[in-house]
Amino acid sequence: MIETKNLSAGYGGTPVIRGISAAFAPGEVVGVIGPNGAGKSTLLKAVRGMIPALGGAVCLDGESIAGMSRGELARRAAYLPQTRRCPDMTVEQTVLHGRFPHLRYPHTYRDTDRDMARAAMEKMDILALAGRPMSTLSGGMRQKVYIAMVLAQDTPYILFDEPTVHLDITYQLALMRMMRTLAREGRGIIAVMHDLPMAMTFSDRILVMREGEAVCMGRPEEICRGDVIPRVFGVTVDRFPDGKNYHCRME
Amino acid sequence: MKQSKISCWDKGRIGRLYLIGGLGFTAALILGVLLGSTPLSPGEVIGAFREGFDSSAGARIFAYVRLPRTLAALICGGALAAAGAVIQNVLANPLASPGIIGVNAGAGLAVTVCTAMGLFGGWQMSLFAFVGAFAAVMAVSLGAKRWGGTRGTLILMGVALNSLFGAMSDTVVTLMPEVGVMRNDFRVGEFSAVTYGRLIPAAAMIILALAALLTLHNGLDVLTLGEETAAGLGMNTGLMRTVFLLLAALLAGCAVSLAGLLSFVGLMVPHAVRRLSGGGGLHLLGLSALFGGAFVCLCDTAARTAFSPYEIPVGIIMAFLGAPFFLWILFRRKGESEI
Repeated sequence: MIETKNLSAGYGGTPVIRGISAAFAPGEVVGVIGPNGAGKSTLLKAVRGMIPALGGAVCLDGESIAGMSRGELARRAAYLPQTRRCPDMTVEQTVLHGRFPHLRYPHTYRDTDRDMARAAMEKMDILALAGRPMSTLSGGMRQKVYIAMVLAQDTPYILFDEPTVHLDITYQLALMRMMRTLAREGRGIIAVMHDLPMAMTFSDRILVMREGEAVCMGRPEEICRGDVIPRVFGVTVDRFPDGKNYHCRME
Repeated sequence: MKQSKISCWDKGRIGRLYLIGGLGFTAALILGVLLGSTPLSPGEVIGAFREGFDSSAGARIFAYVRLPRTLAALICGGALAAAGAVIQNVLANPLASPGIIGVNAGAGLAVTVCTAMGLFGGWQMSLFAFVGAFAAVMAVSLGAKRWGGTRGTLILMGVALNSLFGAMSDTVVTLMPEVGVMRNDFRVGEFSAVTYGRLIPAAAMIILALAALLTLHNGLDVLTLGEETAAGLGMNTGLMRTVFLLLAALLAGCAVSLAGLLSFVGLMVPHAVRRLSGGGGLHLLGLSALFGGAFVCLCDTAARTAFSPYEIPVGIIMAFLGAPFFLWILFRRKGESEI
């Protein structure tokens, strides 16, 4: 369980998020939604210990992350940032670097690491691209490679910052189903999302943020029933009659 | 099945590149030793080993002129190309190289100050050059971090640093004219003044730095993924960035202490290797060192044989090749962005 207790964090001593208390359990997908500038990415970074807490605390399975090393944090919670460089290396090498936190100097990859990288590539359906340089791939394919890298990291928790960016709708849906599969395997998934219907459809719980604060957290159907979404986004999200999918409409 | 085919193809390509690089390196060594204003025969070189380095005029030329010069060209070329590969990866800027962002100029200033202080020892010059190179690369790195340097900003910072360090060196030379002996050759870059006394300390430090970099190649790759991704993989990015820049400065500084301000090799060779290999840090560093060494050594051999018995500084030939290459990259990379 990842818990934030009255968490405040930001940059250069200025808080961007304030007083956030939330819990993220293993085996569930939590979608973090909010308008631009709401502090969603900052929350993810603070939860992963990449920026220091200015107040409050983050606990990972009951332990404060303040006392954990970078390596330990990376072995327990993977993080995929919003923007990434296109590196001069092959797909296989990129995915293999997901195993980096599991090794000590000189970080030489073992056969087991290669097997895990291969399994991650298989899962993302990019095994055939293993030897291709990253620079020859489209943005969407690169995104899949980065997601495979995070899968190869093999952590109990995975934090995604807008993972569907650059993916076409087919791959977006495939990725969301992948998140559900990972959650069924017992991993805790926290994903910043911009697509409200998709967030509602594939998340177990939703955290709504606005101006650095958590507005509410609950199951998608509860969130949709209340007035939070119209208040925060100026739109309404409804459930289709099938009871599974959601759609968005203007107020 | 498909995957193993692709990997074999990839490994085959890398293997071929190492073979070509190795052959080029060996050919450069042989040609560098044999060719010159007084050509040597293979028999004379073998004779020098059998009968002693002072046994004949040819043996003396081989042992005290050609061999140190050829080794210096191979080692400096390899060092500058590897330093360029590291700097480009760490600063995430394909236009960065030790010559362009002011690292060589920083080392050059330090060597000028070193000689102005009357310190002419190989170790002293190498250490001074390393300190100058490191100060310059850290200034650029911190500046880029603080001001959110784009590719253009970084290059402009390099232009400013090159001018500043050049002006400071000129000031030292103006105030102490005796320091200016061979100053012009030092600015352009050349190997005619190489002695074992200068070669051995610089070569030892370059080999150490290269060895350290090769053990850290996976870390260099991870840093290349971007600061946030690398931090997400548990890397202390600030520390590793400094370590890589320190090693790059050691390579570039020691090369400058031997050869002067050789430009463009740190830009051209890593680019060519990246395009040919498409691989990550290990092969980028290894192949850059091989091809860089071979390239500079062949250029140096051409510089001293093309107008024999006159010799032109190798830096002139490299600038003729490098400047158009730099412009080509500048226009080719226009508009490229992160995903």
